[in-house]
Amino acid sequence: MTPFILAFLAWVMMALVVQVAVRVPVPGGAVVAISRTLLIEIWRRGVLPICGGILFLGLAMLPWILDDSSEESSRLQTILDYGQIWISSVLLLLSMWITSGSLADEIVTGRMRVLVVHRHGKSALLPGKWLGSVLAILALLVPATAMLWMLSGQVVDRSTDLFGEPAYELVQPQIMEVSREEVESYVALQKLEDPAGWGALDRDKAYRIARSRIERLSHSLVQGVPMDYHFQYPGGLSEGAVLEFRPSLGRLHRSERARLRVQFDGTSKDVVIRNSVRSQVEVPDRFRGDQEIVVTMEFLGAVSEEMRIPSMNWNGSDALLLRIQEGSLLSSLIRSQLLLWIRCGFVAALGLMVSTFLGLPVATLLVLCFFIAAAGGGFAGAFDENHEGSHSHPDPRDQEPSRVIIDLLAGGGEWIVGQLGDWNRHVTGSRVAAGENVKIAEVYSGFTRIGLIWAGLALLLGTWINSRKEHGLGVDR
Amino acid sequence: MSVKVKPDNRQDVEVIRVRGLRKVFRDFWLRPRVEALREVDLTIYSGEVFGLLGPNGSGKSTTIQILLGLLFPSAGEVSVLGKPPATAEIKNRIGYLPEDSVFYPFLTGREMLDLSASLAKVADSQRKGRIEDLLEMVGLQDAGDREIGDYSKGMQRRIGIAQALIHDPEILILDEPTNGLDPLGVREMKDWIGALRQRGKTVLISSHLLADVEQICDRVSILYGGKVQTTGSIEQILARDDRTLWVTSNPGEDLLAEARRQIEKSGIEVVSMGPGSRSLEDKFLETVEAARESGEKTTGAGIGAKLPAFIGQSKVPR
Ligand SMILES: Nc1ncnc2c1ncn2[C@@H]1O[C@H](COP(=O)(O)OP(=O)(O)OP(=O)(O)O)[C@@H](O)[C@H]1O
Ligand SMILES: [Mg+2]
Repeated sequence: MTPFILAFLAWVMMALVVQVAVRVPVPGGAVVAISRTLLIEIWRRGVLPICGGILFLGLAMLPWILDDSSEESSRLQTILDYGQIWISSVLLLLSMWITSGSLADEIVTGRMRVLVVHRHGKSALLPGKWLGSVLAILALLVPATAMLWMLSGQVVDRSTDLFGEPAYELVQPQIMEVSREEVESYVALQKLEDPAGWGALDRDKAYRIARSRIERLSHSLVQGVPMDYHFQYPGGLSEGAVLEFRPSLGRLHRSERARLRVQFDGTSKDVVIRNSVRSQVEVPDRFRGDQEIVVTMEFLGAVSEEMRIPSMNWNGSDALLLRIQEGSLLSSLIRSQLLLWIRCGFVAALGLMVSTFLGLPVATLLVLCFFIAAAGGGFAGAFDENHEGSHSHPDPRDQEPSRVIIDLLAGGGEWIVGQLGDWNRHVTGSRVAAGENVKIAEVYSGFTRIGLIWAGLALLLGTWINSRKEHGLGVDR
Repeated sequence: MSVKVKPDNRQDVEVIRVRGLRKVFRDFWLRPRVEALREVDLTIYSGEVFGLLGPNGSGKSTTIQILLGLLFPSAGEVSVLGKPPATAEIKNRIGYLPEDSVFYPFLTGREMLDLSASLAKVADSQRKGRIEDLLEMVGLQDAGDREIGDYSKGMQRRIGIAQALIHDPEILILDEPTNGLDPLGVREMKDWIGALRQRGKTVLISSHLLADVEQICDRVSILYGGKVQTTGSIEQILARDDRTLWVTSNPGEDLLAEARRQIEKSGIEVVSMGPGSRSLEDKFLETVEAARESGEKTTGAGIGAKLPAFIGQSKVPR
């Protein structure tokens, strides 16, 4: 089937779902009635038909951006990645426009009066519009996802067994995370050895230095010193787990080779490694079902005699990983799309809340600002560490009012950045494309944090603002 | 012709009470912009048809929207059915027709009524029947599946009346109900209001079309500049103790001249005299009725019908 026929079928599927939702009489109160009215509005005004057309046509164009000469797996990754980006951009923007456009129209025309004079009109208005928009997004999301899946099948030329395509769980070794006890014992040890230097440091500073040193130590391997790495995986190892690593060998050129000995509980294997090149070692089958596995690694130095490489490092969170088969690509994609739906729900609630007191252009601007801030919030979130204990020593200057206010503001800012980081943690499209599994736990956490808490708060706030507003003549705002 | 009924079923129970109402519209920065109402006092009794008259911009719509809780008063005391407006319990007992027909243009007439019924929590079992009854009443059965955006102005007005009645309210607040209606529609509207009155409903209408108001209202208030200038029953307001009007069948030239001579002899001034004429309204109605009977087709509103039976008799609220 050509992509364009697929696009047409997806459009028809969307149209059918909407028609059924609009026509089938469902008993229900004001909320259902308002959401149905919103669906009718965006359908008859052409918002849904046209945006659906753009969405599906865009997906149908995807195969063109593929490089035919590239490998099958990289083509699959490309199409899944770009496909999901396209779907999420269209749907996120749409969920904002549907809701704030509809509400702004309601306010500008003064039509809202006929709703809010009714007993349940005022309280049902925002929830109803929200429900309608979320349903509309679902009516687009389901066919779009189905279409993306079928396109992926066509790209890899084995559409039938793409269903069996596994997804992976990536587990980092425990040593990469520095525990508080380790920091404490390190500091205690240093104080014993060097009472003049370490003893003079204040507690916070000592902890900070200790933490960064341990981190550096735990991320490096010195030639001839074996090191144990603990991987924990409560689900139990499945068949075909692999150890994946990408060592850094300083400024060495890629062509230089070194050797690494990898030991799994007795069986050992020497691997030739190159700077920043990813390699894999299979985990022996006898570990299947284990919840913990210890890998001993020893750096054996350069392959060539003339070269001396004293040590190597693990740089970055993906430098040393256990890759375990978990779930399937399809289920991972579906969970990721569920998360997208939840995010759309939040954007819809935000759009509604903002439009209760701002006009459509300003509301649009504000929500776009949110997108940008959320994208940035994720990066900032990557740097924020857990400085536990950093507030345990009250500094006398902290008591000054100006300091208190600044601290409060800083705390608030940090909180917002942290919350925005939440958004990015639940943007999972590229992980799915890379074959990584999106866990059901992530869907739950996205649902509670973004869906329930964020969207719920936005809707409540919007309803509250709406309930205190005058809804007089149309121009009144 | 709608006959004006004496206010027989009016009972002195206050349904709407407004004292010292003031409304100042403010701009975005909360600076006062317009003082729309200065000092409005109104009392509307159960079962009466009350007219709010006044020229453009005198504050009729503002008063009405305050009574509905759509606008908040700046000062003064307002109570509807004994409660402040916008109290949830009283909302279901009020029907509202806004001044400008602002309904969802993309909904069909039936869908619009269905939406209003859902918002007013009309039981599912009654909904369909009521919608059909009301469409029949306003003469839109045939246009019920067309989108409201395609309706003519008067047809939108009719759908507005229907949605105001869907939950069988006790109080009807109609902001310029005859605005945009054809004379036939105006007469139907007057008949509906008369019928509502018969069933004990309280009706508040605003208008600047005095002829319409004169025929249907029990009492009126005239608003100007955000103040009530006069209030009273139509008879009270219009009665002139310095004029007398006769309407007779044709007395013939001679008798007329004789009568005139007699009157002038006793020193009474004849202010005006002339042949009787029918009103344009009567002529218009006659013509349209004749065209209908001859079977002419129209895509507009059909003949309206009587008030449906589900609009019940209201008891006097206590
Ligand atoms: N939302 C508003 N903001 C500012 N001023 C307003 C607003 N609504 C009404 N006004 C002003 O209040 C005054 C009264 O308006 P209102 O609409 O109540 O008059 P009206 O008697 O209904 O007139 P009409 O016969 O034209 O319908 C007018 O001067 C109007 O400009
Ligand atoms: Mg008005």
